[in-house]
Amino acid sequence: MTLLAVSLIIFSATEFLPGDAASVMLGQQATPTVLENLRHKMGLDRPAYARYLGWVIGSPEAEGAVFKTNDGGSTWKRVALDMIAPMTRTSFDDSKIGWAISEKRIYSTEDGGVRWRRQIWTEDSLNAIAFADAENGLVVGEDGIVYRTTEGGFLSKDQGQLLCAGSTCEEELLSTWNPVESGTELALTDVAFVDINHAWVSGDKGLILFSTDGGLTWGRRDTGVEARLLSVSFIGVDEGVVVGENGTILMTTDGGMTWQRSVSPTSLRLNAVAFAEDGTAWAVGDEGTMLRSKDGGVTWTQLGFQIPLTSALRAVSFDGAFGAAVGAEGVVLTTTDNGDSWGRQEILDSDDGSAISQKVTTTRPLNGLTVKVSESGDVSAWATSDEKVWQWGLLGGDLGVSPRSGVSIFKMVKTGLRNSAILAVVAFLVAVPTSLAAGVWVGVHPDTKLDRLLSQGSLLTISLPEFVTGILLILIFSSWLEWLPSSSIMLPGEAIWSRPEVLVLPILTITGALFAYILRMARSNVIEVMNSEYVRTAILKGLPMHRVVIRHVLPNALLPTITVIANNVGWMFGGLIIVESIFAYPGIGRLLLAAIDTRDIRLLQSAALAIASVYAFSNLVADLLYGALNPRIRVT
Amino acid sequence: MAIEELDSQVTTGGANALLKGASRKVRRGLSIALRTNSGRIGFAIVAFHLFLAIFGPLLAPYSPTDFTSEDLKIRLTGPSMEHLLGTDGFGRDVLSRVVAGARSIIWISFIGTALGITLGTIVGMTSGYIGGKIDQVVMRGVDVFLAFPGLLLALLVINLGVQRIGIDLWPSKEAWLIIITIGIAFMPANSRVIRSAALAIKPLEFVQSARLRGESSFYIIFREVLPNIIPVVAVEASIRVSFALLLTAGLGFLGLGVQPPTPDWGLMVSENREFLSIAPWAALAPAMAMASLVVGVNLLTDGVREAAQLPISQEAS
Repeated sequence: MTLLAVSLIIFSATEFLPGDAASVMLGQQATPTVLENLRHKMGLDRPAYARYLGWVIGSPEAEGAVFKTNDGGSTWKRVALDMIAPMTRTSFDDSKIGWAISEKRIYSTEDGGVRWRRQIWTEDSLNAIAFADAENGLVVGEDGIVYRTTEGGFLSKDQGQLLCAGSTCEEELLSTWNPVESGTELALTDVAFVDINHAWVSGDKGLILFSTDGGLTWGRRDTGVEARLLSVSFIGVDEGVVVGENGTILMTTDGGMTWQRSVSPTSLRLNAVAFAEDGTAWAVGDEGTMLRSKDGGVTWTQLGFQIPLTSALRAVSFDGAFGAAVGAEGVVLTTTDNGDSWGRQEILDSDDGSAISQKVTTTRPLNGLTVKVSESGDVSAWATSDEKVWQWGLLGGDLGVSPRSGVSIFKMVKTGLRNSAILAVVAFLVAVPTSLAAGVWVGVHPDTKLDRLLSQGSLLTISLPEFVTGILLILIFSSWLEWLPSSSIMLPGEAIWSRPEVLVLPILTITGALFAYILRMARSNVIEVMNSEYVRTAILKGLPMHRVVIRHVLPNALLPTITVIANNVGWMFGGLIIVESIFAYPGIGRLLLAAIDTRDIRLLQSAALAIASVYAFSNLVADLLYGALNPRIRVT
Repeated sequence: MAIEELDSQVTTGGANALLKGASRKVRRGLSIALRTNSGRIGFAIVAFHLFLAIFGPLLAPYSPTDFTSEDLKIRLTGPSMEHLLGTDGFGRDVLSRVVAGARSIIWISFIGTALGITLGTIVGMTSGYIGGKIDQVVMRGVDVFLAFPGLLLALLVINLGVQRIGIDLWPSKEAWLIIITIGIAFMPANSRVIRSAALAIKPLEFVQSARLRGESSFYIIFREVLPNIIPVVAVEASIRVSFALLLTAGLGFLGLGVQPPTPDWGLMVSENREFLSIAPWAALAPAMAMASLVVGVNLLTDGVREAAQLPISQEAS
């Protein structure tokens, strides 16, 4: 409850201060496009309550994944790790260079799909992509959108700023994607790009578009069909097939001038169509439908599987004799003999690249597929996924990825907290027993020389800010005596315990104030209790002094002291910010300051929340402890 | 004692009675506080710092911001007759900077504390006196704020605020943001303490009789309750001042306080930290100034506490 409110405060403090968080983060040199990208990535284009809920609970984020097989389809591995953009369709020129579309974006890869670079971010929803070769490509989308490139989508690979998160890099290239007038407002669903001149597009309401100049100008063919057409495929420039809803199948043998309706063995929706090398046409659709036509699409027969598929097949692709079909629930079917026999493959999914060893079968919906056989006969295939998955927020321990460094914030915060906890715990273990013992002793023996020394010394120590204590300690132990290092800088990945000497000065700094504080509390409480009547009674009863102290004084005097100690856990984590800054100790406070320096607001929020949580938690423990030890306040 | 006092106030009435009563109490409290050893020493130290804060810049031998000389040899020199505390990394006179630095930290901490105490006292008294659901809601809210380290709040507000507030404020945006942060950070804890003090006053006869007379809640809170919790407020204020000083200095040290070249003790320590081994005085002098001021305030607090006869354990809340 309290934590929720704390998270709300932190969120408000960081989000609702006047000004734009994204521009604060990037500084003044940011270009408008980069700024807009970041705003989108940080979700600043969403309303505040949605951002808050997304941060705390989570939000349904479209998560993309690209799976690849290199061995003829028997093992599929996720290649693009941490892919943020939801990938819908791909098109590959060879086994390295390829393109993918993701809602409103077009990506390209040059390493077979591991790293993706964004080429363009459009305002339009994109549905399909096809390349005739490595330069000439077409993308179609909703509302009659057609984009065309003759230069592989990019002009220069050197220009633009990189903003990376995981393996997704957003690069503002000078894109060579240009919108083309298609002459229609209807949704375009698929594109076939046979050679650099001939292209066909399928669309809503039986629409078919064609181009004979590489997509520059488009003509329209009426088919007399009202159903939405979903996929188009050509073998050569003359023979083509189009499929769509209600089992619609259309075919042409004259380069798309006239289209005839074929007799379809199904009335289910057909999602994709493709030609194999031998001229066989393949169509896949809902409920595991798979159709084959050996006469260029005139007659179709339905294939049955030994284990019937119930989920939809979404895509089919052939190259040479190798073919594959993918669908919802992670279904992958492959064939190596022009489709005479199909085998079902398992597709392996993992977030951290350990796919092979873990053998996790994905049920992710797969909706795009490209098959390529290289000249040497090696088979590669890519399947894409755009599943909406629940991206957990704070409650799921997922704090997202730092837009600055591309590192998981959760991991950074965890390391920081652990390092700080080492400091705090050791300081506590040193300070609490010694200060309690000293405090009780001088409380029982007030106005002795030792009491005066300790009282005045502790007053001085309390009065010193942490940075003054720290500087004094550095001066004495590091500069003059040269016993200890003056900073605790760690190499990345270095374990804290490997050099315990760097811990000494930070711990001493914290211990100093803590010791003095607890000592003062314990002393004054003991004095108070010693003056009480029940202690006087106990003394007058003739009990030995140590018995009086242990049985009568301590239980009563330590009550408020314990509360102070528990409260101090939280205080220490706050004070650690300064101590860690003095010694450059890689804890949570240092992380917070680093986030401030780099204006990494996501990291700042998370680090602040971590500190506040520890603080709130220790306050809660203090309250509970107090209640448990002191029955008198339980009533409230 | 409290009841007698109040009776006289209620009968005399008048707009100034409250103020007079309060100031009389403060004066009497101070004189009691000064009877204790720690109170006397603390008062002397604090008075000395206040004096420096007001007249320091006039007395300082050099300008705190000007570089003493273009000559590089003048940098990081040791204490000498010319420069009693030596010079810093920019060749500036450390003594002049320390003296001038008293001003910013003192006024920021004091005004910030005053803001926090005022807010906390009003909230605490009102919440405690009215009670019921409002009280519960307010105290819940206070709990939430208490679960928040002051330094963290300050870091968030100041860092993000400075970058986002477009207008310029005198003397600096940072100063006002720190003041506001101190106010917000101190208000909850303070209102808790004040509330419990107000709860103790509420059932007493003079409050009940004022109620029966038909006085408004506003009148009762400020004329009956407030004068009787002045000692608590005074102790709270003096404790919080030292917290505010530490917080302000800490922020200065982290580079989030007043901006260079304005002299600020925390900032001076961090500026000169790298020269610690060759020129320790440049960092030590402001550190010692800081320490002495807080020691003074803490000693004075002990005195005030004794005068108010509150146990040290009040600090825990």
